[in-house]
Amino acid sequence: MAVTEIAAPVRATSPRPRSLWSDAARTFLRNKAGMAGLVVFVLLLVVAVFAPLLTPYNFLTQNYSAIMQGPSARHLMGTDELGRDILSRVMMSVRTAVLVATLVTVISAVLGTLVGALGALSGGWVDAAATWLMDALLTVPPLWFAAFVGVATRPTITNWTTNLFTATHWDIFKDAVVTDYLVVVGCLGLVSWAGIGRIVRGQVLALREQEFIQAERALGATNWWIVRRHIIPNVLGPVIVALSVSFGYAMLSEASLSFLGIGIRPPGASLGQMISDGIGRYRSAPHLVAMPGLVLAVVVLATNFMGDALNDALNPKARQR
Amino acid sequence: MLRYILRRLLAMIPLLLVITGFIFVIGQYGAGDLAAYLTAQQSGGRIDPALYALNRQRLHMDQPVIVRYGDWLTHALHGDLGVSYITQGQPSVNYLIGQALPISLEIGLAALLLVVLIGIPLGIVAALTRNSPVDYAIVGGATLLSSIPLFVLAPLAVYFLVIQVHLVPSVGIGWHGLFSQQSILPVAILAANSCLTTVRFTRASVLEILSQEYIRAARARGLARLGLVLRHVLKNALIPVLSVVGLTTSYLISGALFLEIVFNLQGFGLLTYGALRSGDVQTLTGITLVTALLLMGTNLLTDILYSVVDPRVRLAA
Repeated sequence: MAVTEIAAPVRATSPRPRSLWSDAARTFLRNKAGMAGLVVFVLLLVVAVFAPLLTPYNFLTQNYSAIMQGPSARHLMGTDELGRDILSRVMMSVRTAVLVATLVTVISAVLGTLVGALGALSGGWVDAAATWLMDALLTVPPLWFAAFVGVATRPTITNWTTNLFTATHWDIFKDAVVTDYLVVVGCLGLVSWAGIGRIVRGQVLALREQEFIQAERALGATNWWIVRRHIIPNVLGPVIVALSVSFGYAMLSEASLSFLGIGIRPPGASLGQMISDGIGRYRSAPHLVAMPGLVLAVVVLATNFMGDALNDALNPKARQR
Repeated sequence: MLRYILRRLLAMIPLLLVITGFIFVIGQYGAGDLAAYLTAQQSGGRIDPALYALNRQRLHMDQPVIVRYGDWLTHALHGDLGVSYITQGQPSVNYLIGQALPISLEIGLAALLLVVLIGIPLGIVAALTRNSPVDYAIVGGATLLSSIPLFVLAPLAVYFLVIQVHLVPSVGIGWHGLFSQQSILPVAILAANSCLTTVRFTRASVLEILSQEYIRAARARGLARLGLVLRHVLKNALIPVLSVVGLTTSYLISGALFLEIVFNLQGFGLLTYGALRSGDVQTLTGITLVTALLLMGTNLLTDILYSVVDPRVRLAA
């Protein structure tokens, strides 16, 4: 046993060293669960982008002669209590969820990186304030915080959009769904960056003390060189992993807020809203809850698998298990 | 130890101030004009300017928001969380939370107990049968159960287990104390949805211990596998698992919200749901304070327990 352990690192198969990224790509491609997650994720994005072209029916068209039907050839996921095609509604809801999750992920990536890096690099009271802010945000479960903020700010945001409409007469500000998007993206963005911020801060702090950074400094490297050449590539891995998981979590959060009736509301389409509508009728028509629910579960599962695989791929030290 | 606890308690104060202050302020600015709402209710839909002015004064809305927050804080420190103006009959927030919280705490503690009693053994079994079908089944099952959102898992479980299979009686599912048949389903669903962290953490922790030198030494001495696990592995592997309890509490609190909506349990989650739907800022601020206290308390407790169980962990005073 001891012999194999010593022999293992000496691999004759790789003649020249591979870069972190090509090594990561190879590891990721070999991970079956991760690849399955990636396939689902890509499918999700395709559905989200092309949903209006792909839906077999209009997602709002009601058909009173086909109410609460189970899955069939005409309606693959069945119909809801107003005779609307569930598959079409699920596809449009995926579009909603992906749009929200993309915006929330971008916001949390930018805010988290800025606050985390700023704290770690400047130290002192700036760091103390940044850490403290992130701790405060993580004290209450994020979804509760988002829900409170969403409820409390919705009237104000509605006022803003109304004022913007009277000022510009652009139709986009008259749309109630746009207001819903602003509320949901705003409150989820506000609470979800703290996790990323903590990761960035921890990574930068750990890197700053490493010998190779100090050696670079001694050789006369500028701060900008060190940040570009060493800090960014080393922080990028953990951040990508965190972002891929938080994308799924943002989709779930959007659905949860909409389930509570404080996220995306009709006529906007949302998985949470569909589930909430079906919850009073699941005893006789379980597909009303099961169809959007299982789509949501598959999405969360896929992003988790993807996150795990990315973690394996981008974090070579954690690979020995 | 005492100094450590004191320091931690002191550190909580500014955090609590910021959180409640934030919720209070955005609530006052954002959630609509409470005085106008009350006036419209009292005078049948019309806004009577005199009554409106009176209501504003009664709610201290003529004072700056900082003063109002100070007022709220002084009352909160005396254990009075204010009045829920929007709820019918205008009950005190204390009464509402006092009615709802015990139910949720009982459900949460029962679920936590279930998570610990089932999650830890499953994690140990998964670690001992690493990369076998048993391991994959345990970790995969826990992953699947926690990936399905609670508001989907609960209705589907009721549909399959109660309506199709009649596993538990279909009459009166809800909360009737810890040992009633009707309470099993909600608690089991909540536990199943939140057990993944415990299973994975236990598994990783046991694997970590199994790779230590002293385990190899014990094995070389010829200790049988079961004795090895019981005597050396468990004792050390379970210490890190303690910290999962704090994390799981956070899940359970979020989960209570959806569980109580689906099963219509009159607990903390349903109270929150109602307050969210009606924009009841007074109740929401009180709920925020209680939630933050609960979570901070659990975290402090697990940290203290951690240092008691593991003498290597010194609490920095």
